[in-house]
Amino acid sequence: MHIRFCFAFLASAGMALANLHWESAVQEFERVPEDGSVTAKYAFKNTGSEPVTIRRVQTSCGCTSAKLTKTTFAPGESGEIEVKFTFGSRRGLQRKLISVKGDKDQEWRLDLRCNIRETVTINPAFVFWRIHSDPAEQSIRIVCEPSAGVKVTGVKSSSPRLAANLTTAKPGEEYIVTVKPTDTSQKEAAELTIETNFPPDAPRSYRVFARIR
Amino acid sequence: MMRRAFELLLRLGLGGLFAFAGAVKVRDPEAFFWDVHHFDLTPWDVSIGIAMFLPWVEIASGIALISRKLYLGAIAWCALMSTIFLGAISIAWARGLDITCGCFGRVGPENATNYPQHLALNGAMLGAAILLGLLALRPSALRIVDGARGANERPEVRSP
Amino acid sequence: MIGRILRESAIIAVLAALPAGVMAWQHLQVKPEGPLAPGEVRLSEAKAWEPAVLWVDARSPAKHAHRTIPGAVQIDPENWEERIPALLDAWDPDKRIVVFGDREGDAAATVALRLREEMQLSPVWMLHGGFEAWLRP
Repeated sequence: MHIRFCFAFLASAGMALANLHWESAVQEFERVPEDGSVTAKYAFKNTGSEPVTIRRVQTSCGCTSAKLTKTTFAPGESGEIEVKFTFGSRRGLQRKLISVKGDKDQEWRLDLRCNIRETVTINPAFVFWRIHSDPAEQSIRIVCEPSAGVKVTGVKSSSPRLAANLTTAKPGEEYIVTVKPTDTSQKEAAELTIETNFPPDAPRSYRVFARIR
Repeated sequence: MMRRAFELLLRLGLGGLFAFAGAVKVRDPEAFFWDVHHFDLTPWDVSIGIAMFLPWVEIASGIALISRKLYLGAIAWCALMSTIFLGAISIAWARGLDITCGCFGRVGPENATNYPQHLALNGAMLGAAILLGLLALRPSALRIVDGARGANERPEVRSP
Repeated sequence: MIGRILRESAIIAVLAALPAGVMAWQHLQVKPEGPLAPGEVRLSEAKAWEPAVLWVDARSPAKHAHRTIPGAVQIDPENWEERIPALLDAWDPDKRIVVFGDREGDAAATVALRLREEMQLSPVWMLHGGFEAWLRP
């Protein structure tokens, strides 16, 4: 006899399940690297008819710590989990998931999203056209920290079929790169290199991608 | 005297370590199951069997060591488990796997692969089990402990 | 002596088997699947989309090299800059992107977020239960 056991896994990331109702299980933040860390507070309430004991709060990274002042919550009682995410050398979009486990195998998942703003932010980093679609121009927005003194000096495309042009919207703060295919009759892949003068000792360039698919 | 103290230290240390390791795994058997299964050495059902059974063997062996009951059996289990852990960790390292050992559950947020550390710890546990076995079976074999006697201790006097 | 060792070992095994059996009875059962978090998809549903799926493996390169979902492209937050061109080469606008990582860990969540926000790719899903869902028999 071949036995296939599975663990009972009553994962509940739907926040209304299994007694605890979370005010806001997904929290988003914008910070600069100099902030060093961000703290999110996840408030909840026991909406069930039985006490709930939080057995474990688990983070998936040493950069994230969770604090809970008490573990058992009576029906109707509210509580809060405080989560601190320390940036370290991380930059850009970060997402940390925190797993909360109850004593009756309940599980909830908290979501902390933080955009650690870089000196230069490019959005989007990818543009594409479907084959045989309208070869309309698409824009890429470059935003620079005003205090950094960044200047975007140029843009180059690796493919002549996907031409790129640079426009200054606000010197030192906002630039626009427009990308336009000559035609969309065939597939194409291109890498656009955006050149800057920052940092002064080793000016950095950034890549964005374009595709005709 | 020194031998007794040494043996007591080893016994309590190794027993306590195994009992603790087992207790931590029992708290979250599903997590330990995945730690075992990620070694990719056993099929699904065997991994489940290990996840259910092993932590309790660790606890029982640890308590047996500390209380000096079923002593030789406990030493044998500790030596066997340490050998198996050493083997599994070595194979995972050779394969370049990036796993959590699971040896002490999820004591820290990142109990990720630090192979030399895990091998050293399990090697030390195996060594301790072997030493305890030797002390139990062949007390005279451990002369090195007796040999470290201080200047005030008298040497053994043999009658002619 | 050997007899004593075997006898005591067997007694320890029996003593361990009792609570192990209780724990097995408590934890092992045929399970109903839990509800999905926003942006998650179950393996059965993702498999039904094939071949119009781009599997994205957000685990480490070592884990990916050892075993992965067939056809998956590896990229994680650490090697993002290096691997994004390969992902875009594998990408097709008619395919749904399904990102998977370890059962516990947020590499998959971060990769999914960056694919949606930075690269403006859509739709991007996360595999419920991570790579471990694929391993289940």
